[in-house]
Amino acid sequence: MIDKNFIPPLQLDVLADSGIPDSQIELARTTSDELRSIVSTQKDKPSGPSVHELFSGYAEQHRIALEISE
Amino acid sequence: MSFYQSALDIAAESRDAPDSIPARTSAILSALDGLGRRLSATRFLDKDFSLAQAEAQAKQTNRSAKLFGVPLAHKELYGRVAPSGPWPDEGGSSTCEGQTARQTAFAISQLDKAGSIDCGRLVSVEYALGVTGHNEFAGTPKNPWNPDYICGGSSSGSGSVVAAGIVPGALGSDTGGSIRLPAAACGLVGIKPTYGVVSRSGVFPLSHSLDTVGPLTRSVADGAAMLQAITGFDATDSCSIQVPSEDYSRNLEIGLAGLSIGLCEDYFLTGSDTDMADMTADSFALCQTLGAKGRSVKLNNIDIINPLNVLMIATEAAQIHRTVACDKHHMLNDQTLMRILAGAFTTAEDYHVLQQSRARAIAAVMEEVFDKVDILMTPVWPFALPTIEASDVGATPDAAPLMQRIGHNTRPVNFLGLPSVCLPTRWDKNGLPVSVQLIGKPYSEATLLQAAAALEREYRFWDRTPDLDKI
Repeated sequence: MIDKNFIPPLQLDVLADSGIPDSQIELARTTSDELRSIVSTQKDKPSGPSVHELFSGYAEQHRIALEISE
Repeated sequence: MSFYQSALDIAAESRDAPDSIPARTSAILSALDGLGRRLSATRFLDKDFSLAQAEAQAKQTNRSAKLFGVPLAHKELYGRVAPSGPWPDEGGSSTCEGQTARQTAFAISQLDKAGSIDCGRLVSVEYALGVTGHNEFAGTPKNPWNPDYICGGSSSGSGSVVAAGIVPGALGSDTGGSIRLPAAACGLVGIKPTYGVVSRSGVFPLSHSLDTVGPLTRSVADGAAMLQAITGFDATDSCSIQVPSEDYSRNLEIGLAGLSIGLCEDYFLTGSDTDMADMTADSFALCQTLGAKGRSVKLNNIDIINPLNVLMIATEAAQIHRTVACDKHHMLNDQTLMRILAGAFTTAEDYHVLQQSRARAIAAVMEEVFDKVDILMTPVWPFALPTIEASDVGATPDAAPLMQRIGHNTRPVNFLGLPSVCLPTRWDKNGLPVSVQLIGKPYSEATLLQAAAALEREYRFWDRTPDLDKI
């Protein structure tokens, strides 16, 4: 599932037209490529509950543990 | 005014002599205006508001609030709409100059309810997007232990002013280490709460998924009291979670007996300089002497978490700030611009995989670590604190690796959403503070504070104070 509210990536020509120096765009793009290559290694792994669902569950476990300790 | 008073001592004095609250507040405002500005740490004061708040507290008949009459100042990301008008909300950036707060931050309202006096705002790194504390626009705070050295970032002003003893505590925010790095650099207790425990409503945003709110203080007890005050469910923050209310101070005197503490040599120690690793191992050994059970633990895939966190921050920061990055790039610090742009190329699919990777990593670390131990101990800074000059790398090709390296021990904690407390233990080769980080399972703040209090009693770090005559 893709987040519908997610704003699509900026295009290089939009960045160039904005007047940002080429050297800075290139440095950012290189950094992005390096980081996204790590993300790509995670693509085919199974999905599970969301982060919020996980923490809601941990909060419930914590509530039960507190009640028992009292 | 007496510098270096604890929040709890000030609250006790205020209960006994409420007339002292306005005088103390006035003295602290003067110190923020003087020493705080010499440290390049004070950003905004509204003396009329703070004194009016102090006068109102002095007239209170109910003086039971935990932070009754305690003067605090906070990172400039925290909104306040005062009766005379909203306070600045510039996010430490010239791109937001003149922008004012639209609401009082939830955490600030909670501190008001707890009886504290809000004495103003402290310098943040631009957009909270930096770990060294450099800020050409708002100022680069100096470390009170040695003004040539950085305070760390991004809650740099908070670290500087609390270490200088002006206020007993300050709120910071932490997306990749921005509470813990300045706390450690300045010899303070820093608390990064569990995901969802403290609302971020009214706080200048950086990364929706990773931003957390917490205190920097000189003592564990003060940190526990401030954390207690700011927690609470807030439906206006979609990451807020209903967590049972508990007394974070309840275990501070118990000690370490019965707790199990893990040390992960791979990554956390091997990724830190020998001095930092050795001092962490010494603290781990001390915990065992004090009755804790020590255990070596391993985390699979921990090495990819730091870069994934860097990308998630950059991606979410770009979602928020991309228009400014294009339209006002000439006003942004080069490093801020570079870090935002690095997130502007992320696709929706990349982002979805990032979020899924995060959830998987959290579930894995619960099994690999927190099924075995209560607490994981790590260094905070992976190397000795650098000077302001040496770490001013801007957006050179050296900058990205340095930023990743500084957050080596802190960023994984944000990605995993776990609570963490850092506390000072000793001194590095240059006489600057060194700290350890205690990481726990979700909602284990009380246990972390229990362990931190036991170590605090051993190290007695704040028996010594900075020589402020140098500032």
